[in-house]
Amino acid sequence: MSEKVTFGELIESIAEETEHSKQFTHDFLKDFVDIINGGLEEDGKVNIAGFGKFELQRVDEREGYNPQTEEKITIPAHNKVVFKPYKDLRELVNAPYAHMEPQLIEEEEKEEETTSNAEDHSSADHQAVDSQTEKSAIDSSSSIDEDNKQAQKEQKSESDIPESSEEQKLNEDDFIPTAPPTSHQQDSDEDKTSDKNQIETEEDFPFSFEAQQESDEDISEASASESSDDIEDDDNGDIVEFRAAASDTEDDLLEEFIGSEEKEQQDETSEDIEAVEETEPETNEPQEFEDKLDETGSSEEEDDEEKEATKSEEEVLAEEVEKLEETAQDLKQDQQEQSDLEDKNSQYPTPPTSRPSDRSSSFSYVAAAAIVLLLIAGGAWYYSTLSTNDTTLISSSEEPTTSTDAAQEVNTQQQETEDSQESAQNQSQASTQSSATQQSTGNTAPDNQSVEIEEGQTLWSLAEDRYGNPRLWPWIYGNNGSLEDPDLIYAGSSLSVPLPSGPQNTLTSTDSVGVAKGFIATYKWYKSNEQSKAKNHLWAAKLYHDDLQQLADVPIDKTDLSYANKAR
Amino acid sequence: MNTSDVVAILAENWDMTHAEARDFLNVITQTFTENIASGNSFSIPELGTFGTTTRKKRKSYNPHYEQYMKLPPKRVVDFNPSKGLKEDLKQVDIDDE
Repeated sequence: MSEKVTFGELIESIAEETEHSKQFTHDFLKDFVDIINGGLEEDGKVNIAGFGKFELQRVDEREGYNPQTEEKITIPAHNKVVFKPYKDLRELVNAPYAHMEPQLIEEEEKEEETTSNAEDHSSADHQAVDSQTEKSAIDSSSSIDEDNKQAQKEQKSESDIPESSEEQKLNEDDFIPTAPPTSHQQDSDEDKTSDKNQIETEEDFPFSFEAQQESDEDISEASASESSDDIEDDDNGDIVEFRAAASDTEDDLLEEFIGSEEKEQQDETSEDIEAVEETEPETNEPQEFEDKLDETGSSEEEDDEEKEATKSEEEVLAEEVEKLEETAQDLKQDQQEQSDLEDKNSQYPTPPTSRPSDRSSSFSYVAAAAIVLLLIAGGAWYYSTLSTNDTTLISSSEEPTTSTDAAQEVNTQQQETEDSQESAQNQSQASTQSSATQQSTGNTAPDNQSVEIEEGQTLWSLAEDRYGNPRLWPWIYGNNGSLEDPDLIYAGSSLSVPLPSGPQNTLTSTDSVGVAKGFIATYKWYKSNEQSKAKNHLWAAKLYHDDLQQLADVPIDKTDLSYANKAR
Repeated sequence: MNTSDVVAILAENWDMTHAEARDFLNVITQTFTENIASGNSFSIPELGTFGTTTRKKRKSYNPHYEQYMKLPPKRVVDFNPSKGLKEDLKQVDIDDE
């Protein structure tokens, strides 16, 4: 851009193309210039087809002043040489801004600007206004054509205004690229029949690239899901193995309790008593439990892992559960220990990390109670987040029950805390899944949620999880500037997932701006990598925000933009 | 003066057919066009300098409809006639159309 090309280079490139010598080219060009000069002198204009017109313009005598001496001087009448480029050249030169079109400023804003920019428009405009009003008084009756024009113009302006007023009136300084609607329709009729068909079939959600997108997803998932399926199978196998190996461990108890608690949540009140009663007759000796505790103590970490494994289907939720467990641990362990110690007159108030070999049953109660409590709390939260779409995990609770007094006590003690939890959980169950996720993340960040990508996940599936609408996936992409290929995300890396700020998955205006930005981000990527899909993303962006030009920080291709404008 | 006039003079001066002269001329203007369009500036001795300038976006007022418009930025061809040409032609009488 804006490089200076010397005359020599120019001659060289012309000589190369015409296969003449440089000398000849130079002389020829010089002659050409002489002819132009002669022509200008002769009749004041020289018209070079395909390039432009050189013209002499008369400049009348005028007053001026010498800026150095500040003397007033009269500039005598003279001619000046003007070059008027041909239309082709003009359009070529203006290509970077060709997609912008003049935009009407609406009434309210006009008033503001007349006041604010009074200096700018100043006298010339006001005079113009005055003369205009007089003129219109004279002319309005006589000219029918003008009335028609005005009517057309008003129609146009009316059609323009709701467009932008419906959407956000953000930054009206920039130019909404609007092509005349008639030409759009013609275009769409002529060359976009196939696209139109797609659009018509997908009126509910007008993403013409859905099919492409899904195929993309299929491809990317096919590559990723083969491995992930294997892994899931492995996980399931691991779970079975774990269960088989540690079938006597506390984990089963825990699962039972989680299961029972889930039942409680389903049936609210009656069954929790039954669950407690069921556990009562099957009491095991404390010594036995202590042995189990040893096992569980050693396999406590494994338990966590296993929990993650069982919840691998809902990897993200597992993370939340862990967090909640930690908080619950901090809060409830103290309570639990205190109450247990008071009730049982514990002899060994040692911290649970140190494990004396001769610890008594009461300590095991405390430790077991704490662990059970944690896992129940985790399970409760887990259930609350899963309640809308998952019933498979509950079935795992139907296994032989081997419960202990301690666990039972914990369970009864749990009731109190659970009651309070349940009230909160019921609220979250009553509301939608999105609000549940919002609730769980509401503590940290209201708008964004950090999510670690697991294997098999795609932006598509993430968006489906979060928004109930997988087609909003570019929102996530746009919110993570570090992402390169939107079809490729890596397991283990974390994403910042924006959450809808409106209730019931509705998008507020700021959300839709974010979505539009996401689509523009994907558009930019596809534009540079997969040209054919790019325009569809721009088209989708147009659905969410009217003023794409303002959102995009790079110039948008003109043809893509006109395609996108059909979304309106 | 039209292109055909220019071509006729060139063909006569350089002893070539009109078609050849026109082709050569087309190459010249094509090269100019490409350079201008890509934002390059260049000067032709005794004629002037070609380049581009960018007009800023601005507001305009249509007095007929009493409407304000926002006009987008625009890139235009910039031609500065060389000093010699300017001086030579300053005092030439133009036949008004």
